[in-house]
Order: sequence, then C-alpha cells, then structure tokens
Amino acid sequence: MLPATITTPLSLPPEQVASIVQAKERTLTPSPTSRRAQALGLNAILAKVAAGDRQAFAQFYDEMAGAVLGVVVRIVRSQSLAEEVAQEVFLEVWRKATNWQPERGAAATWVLMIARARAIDQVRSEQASKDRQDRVTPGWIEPASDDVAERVTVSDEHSEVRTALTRLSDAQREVIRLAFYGGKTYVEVANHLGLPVGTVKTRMRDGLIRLRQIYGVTR
Amino acid sequence: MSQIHDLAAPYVLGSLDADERLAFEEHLESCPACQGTVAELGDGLAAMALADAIEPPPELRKVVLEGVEPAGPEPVASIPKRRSWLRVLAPVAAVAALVLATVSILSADPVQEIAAAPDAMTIDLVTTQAYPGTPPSVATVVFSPSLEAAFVDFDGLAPLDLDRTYQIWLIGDNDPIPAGIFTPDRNGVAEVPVDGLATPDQTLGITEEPQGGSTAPTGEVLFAAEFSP
Repeated sequence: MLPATITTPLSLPPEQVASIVQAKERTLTPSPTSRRAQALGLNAILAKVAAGDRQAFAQFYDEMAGAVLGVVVRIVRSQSLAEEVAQEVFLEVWRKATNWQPERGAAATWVLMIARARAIDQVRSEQASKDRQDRVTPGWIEPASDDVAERVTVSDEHSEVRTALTRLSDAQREVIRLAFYGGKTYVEVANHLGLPVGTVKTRMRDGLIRLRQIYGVTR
Repeated sequence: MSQIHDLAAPYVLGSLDADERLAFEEHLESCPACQGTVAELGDGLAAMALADAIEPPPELRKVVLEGVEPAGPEPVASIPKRRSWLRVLAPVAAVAALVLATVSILSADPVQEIAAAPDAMTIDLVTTQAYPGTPPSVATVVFSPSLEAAFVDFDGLAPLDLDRTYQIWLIGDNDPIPAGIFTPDRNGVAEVPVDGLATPDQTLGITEEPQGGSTAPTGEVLFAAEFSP
C-alpha cells in the first residue's frame, strides 16, 4: 500500500528533497508488530544502524532495551548500576554495529552478548577494586570469575519464580545460568558441577532449544 | 578432542575461552550447518531474554539517544525538521489559496458527496509507532479520484488536551500541505473532509499540533496512507 520508492522531479533543491524523503520515511514507520516480525526485522534495523541511521538506532533501542536491562540486572544485581551498564551497551552498539556479522548470530543475540560481557566486566571490576583494598601488596589481580557465578546463583534463588529459566529442567537451568549469567566457560561449568564436558554441552544445547520452543519463533 | 560442531551451544552462551571462540568463529565462516545451529540456539537465548525483559525507565532512552549525537560542530542534526519546510513556504501558500477555492466548490456536505461517489474507495490509515496507546478501532480515509476529494473517518481516536489539535497533511512532491484540523468527539469519532485536491500520487499524514494548527508539521506522523488505488 505504501510506496517502496520515492520519485522526485530533478529540479527540486536538495534540502527540499531531503524533507520529502524524511516525511515519506516517517509515514513508513511500521505499526507495532508481532514478536516474529520483530525478530526477523531486527537484523535489518541493525544493518541500518551500521550505516549511521539514528532513527534505526532508536528503533533498535526500543526493541531490545528491556531484554538488555533484564540480562544486565540479573548479573550486576542493582537496578541503578544496570541502567549505567545498559547505557554503555547501547553506545557500544552504535559504535560497533559495523562489526556485526550476521553469520555469527542474529542482531538480538549479538546485543545480548555485549550486554552480558559489559555486565560481567562491571562485576569483576567491582570485585577487583574490593580485592585491591583488601590486599597488602597491590599487583595484578586474578579475575574473580567464581564470584560472578556465586552472586548470580544466590540472586536467582530469590527471583526464581520470575525467570524464563524456571521452565527448564534443573539440569538444563543450572548449566545455562552458570554459563550465561555466571560468566563461566563450559569447562568451568563442568568442573563446578563435577560433570563431563560433553554432558554440559548437551544440556546447554537442549536447554536453548527448549527455550526457543517455549518462548521463541519458528523459522 | 571433541567435534568442533559441539561448540555451538557454549558459543551462543558466550561460554568458550578466547582461543576456542576464535577457532569456532573461523570454522563458522565456512560451515553453513553450524551457522544454522548458532542461529537456532541464538533464537532460544533471545527468546529467554525477551521473556525476562525489564521495562526500562524513560530517562534511559533519553540518555542513550542523546549519547549518540555526533561530536563536534554538527548542530544541524538537532534542529527540528520544520526548519527545512519553512524555507519553502511560498509554494505552500499558493496551493493553500487554491485549496480554499476548491473547498467552496464542493457541496454543503462534502463527506456525503465523497461517500456517494461511484469510485469512492476506503483506504486503511497506517497507525505509526508515534501514536500513543491502543490504535483506534476505525482509522480510514475515503477517497474519490474523480472528485479529487477525501475524508478521514475515525472511531476510538485518543482525546487531546484543549490546547492541541489533530492536523491533516497532504504530502506529494512538495512539502507537506496543511489540509485541515480536527478534534474527535468524546467517543473518539471524527469524520473530517480533507481540505484541498487529493490526488493518487499523494500521501496523507496526520500529526498532533498546537490548537489552531501549524503551517508545517511539528509533531510526529501518527497516521498515514497512500491515495493510490
């Protein structure tokens, strides 16, 4: 119904052409769409962000801010700190959108990995500065990866009812929580739980497939 | 040594160490099967995060969007779009004069006349994301190409503050032309003729404006439709 292309007489001055394009583009803003359409459209939106499109960036923010904040809060466990981290995450999206490679994961996954990484950085730098204060001799500090996992484990016991992970089996939930929110590698998860690495990888895969079945889209 | 394909799930969860991640990403470039698995498992992760989303505070949106304003001397970007439209008001004024002439030719009840035209067509108005709240139950424009006239028809349109009004615009190959202001009744019903000649190459847009209307749009487009059949 709405035009895909805009034809303009060549005699118009450029600033007038720009204003028409803007007006037309604004009329093309889609009405709220289904989650499926959002998931499929997000890659296209991020591609526009990579081209420096501020409107697309605002759209990308609107689609993903809630999910980003949800991930960050579950890792840093403070709403105000989470908002600061979420802000960093979206600035990184703006600056690094050109680095995104679709074959390595969809736009949604890409921004969630940034969110997870920045949140874990936050927890570790907090822990490191605490350690620095505690130490007699300052020096290099081993990242306290266990602390992230412990904190998340503790926090999730309190907010268990509200998380999507509660829909998984205990075995699947535990590996995804430790890996994604806890910042552990799958080898660390295996050591932590005393399981073979193969079992951990299988549970991760089965858990993600289950989450997609429960909440996600079908391709 | 495990199969590299098995690393898709830990990869999606960000759970590979740096060396393994680089190796897997290199493998990914040439393995469509793993790309498919990564996309599928990534959907699961995204679905989880969307299900666990937390409503962000409005201030965060403001801070984030302001944070990406270009550094350095590029003040033009923050000046409202209205500026470029104001420069070309002369042709708009000319068309507005024509508009007044046309309206007076139409009969006393243009809505009835348009609706009765043999070629009258009803076109759905697209409700944009700028529209606050639930879209109206009816949002259409009835257009007659032979009369070159149209009216908009709403039910359930959001009420406005007393100092605000809805304004219709016709957007063709020139700047948006003001084409009437209106406010809905208490049920959100409005049946309003569009001022001016409506032609198939135009887009109709509706914005919210200060009472009395504007000479160029200052609000976001809330509804839009093409007249083309």
